[in-house]
Amino acid sequence: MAGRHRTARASNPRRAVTNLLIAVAIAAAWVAVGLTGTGGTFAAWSSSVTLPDATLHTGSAGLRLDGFDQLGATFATGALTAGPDKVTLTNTGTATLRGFTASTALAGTGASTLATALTVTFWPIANGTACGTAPQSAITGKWSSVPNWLANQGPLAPGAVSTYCVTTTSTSAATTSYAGKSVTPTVTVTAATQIGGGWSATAQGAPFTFSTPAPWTKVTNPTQYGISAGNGTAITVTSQSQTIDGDDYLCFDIAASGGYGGRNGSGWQVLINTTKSPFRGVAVGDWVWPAGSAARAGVDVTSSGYGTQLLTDTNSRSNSREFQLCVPTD
Amino acid sequence: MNKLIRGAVTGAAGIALLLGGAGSFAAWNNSATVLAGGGAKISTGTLSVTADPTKGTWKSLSTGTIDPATYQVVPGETIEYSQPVVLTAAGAAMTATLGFTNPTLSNKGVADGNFTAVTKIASTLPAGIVDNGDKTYTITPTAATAAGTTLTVVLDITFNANATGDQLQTINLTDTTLTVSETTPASAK
Repeated sequence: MAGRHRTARASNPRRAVTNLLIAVAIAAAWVAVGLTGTGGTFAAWSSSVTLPDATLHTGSAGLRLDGFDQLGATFATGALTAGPDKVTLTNTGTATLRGFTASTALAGTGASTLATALTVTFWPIANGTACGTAPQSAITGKWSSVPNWLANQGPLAPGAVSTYCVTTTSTSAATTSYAGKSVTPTVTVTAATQIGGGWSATAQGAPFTFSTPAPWTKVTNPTQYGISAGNGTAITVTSQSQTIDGDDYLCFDIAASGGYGGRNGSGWQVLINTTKSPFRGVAVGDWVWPAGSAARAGVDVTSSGYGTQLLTDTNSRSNSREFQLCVPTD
Repeated sequence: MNKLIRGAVTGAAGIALLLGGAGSFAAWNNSATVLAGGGAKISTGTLSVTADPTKGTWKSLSTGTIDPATYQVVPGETIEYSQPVVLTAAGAAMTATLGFTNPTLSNKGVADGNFTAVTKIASTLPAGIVDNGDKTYTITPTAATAAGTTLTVVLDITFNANATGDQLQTINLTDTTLTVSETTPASAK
């Protein structure tokens, strides 16, 4: 009975065709559902365009400082100001720079002493012009703590140059207090690119040195200070220790006898060799007249060739027969 | 013999019957034209995007118009290439998708990630074009798109503001592609 039933189903061609159609329909349905359910696209049409290839280039940030090597000086009485000298900033990169900051590192025996007595002043000028005198807006400080003298510097375009003038001033007291000291500042400037600010440029100026003459060496021979008789008269020079206003001095009594051009004690000259340290440039402020005299100075200093200063009595005391040249000894 | 004759006669009769069923020997015949006016014309739609490279322009978002051949980029700066493209889409049953392939940036001397590129449509989107928010756009043809509408495509290349190096480098940009593809018409889903 069962075998005859299987034979009947398998041999029924109409049922076989029906089963085949059902299978095909199910498969088609699954395909349709699967594709539409996943958002499939039947991109029959498609068009595209490719933008032109290109090449971009990155820039650079660079900065250079010039002129700092000219700032050095030796300070002594009569030579207490150095400058003004010009220094320049140059944008050597390809990007505009902004946000300039200047800093200073100090080296030398006077880094913590002499530097505190040296006043530095910076002011900008137009490129190619003279420094003139420092304006009210100049930035001033001590070399021991230099303010950011580039605080007001605006953006600097590639290749552009900005010029500043610099003066440094000492005091007579500093040259004595810090005699024989030297300080070497090294100036560093940094800036950032104007756009984005991601790059920074740093430049260092050439080092320079400020110094003072060596300390006093007590001597008694006037020639050791470079004092010698000039022309036209007989001059005698003697020395003695003396206290003036509570300070110790070594004083040279200079007496003129006989007269230049036949006049007694008139028209004499004394030569001071300015290469003799520490007399150089310091003596002028220490000219004193003998005790009891109201006048403390009556001698002018004029240049007279390399290495010497000519002291001449050109005022009303031209007939004085004797005077003193005193230098502090402490 | 008798069987043979009988079989031949039966076969001939069958063939005759088949011929009679396949042939049409219509004595009466008539016809009518369904489409009045002599017929009809069916037009296909269109989907295309074109660009004229000579109309592309470069600028820095910081400094304005530039010549990329000589301009030098710095960190934090964005360089923008602007290219007008003409999109033509016609076909009432059609929708399409517009998308971009950002450029390939190549230079082994530049730190990875210091340059990034974004491509987008900068112009105001006309009717029929919708921003999908995923850097693709869906296009439903309108009369304007059928006539060809101009879109401004911009490519922004940004130099990382925090980059500390990469000075005096060269970066190549290649294969920036805009593609518009037809999606399934509603009736085909």
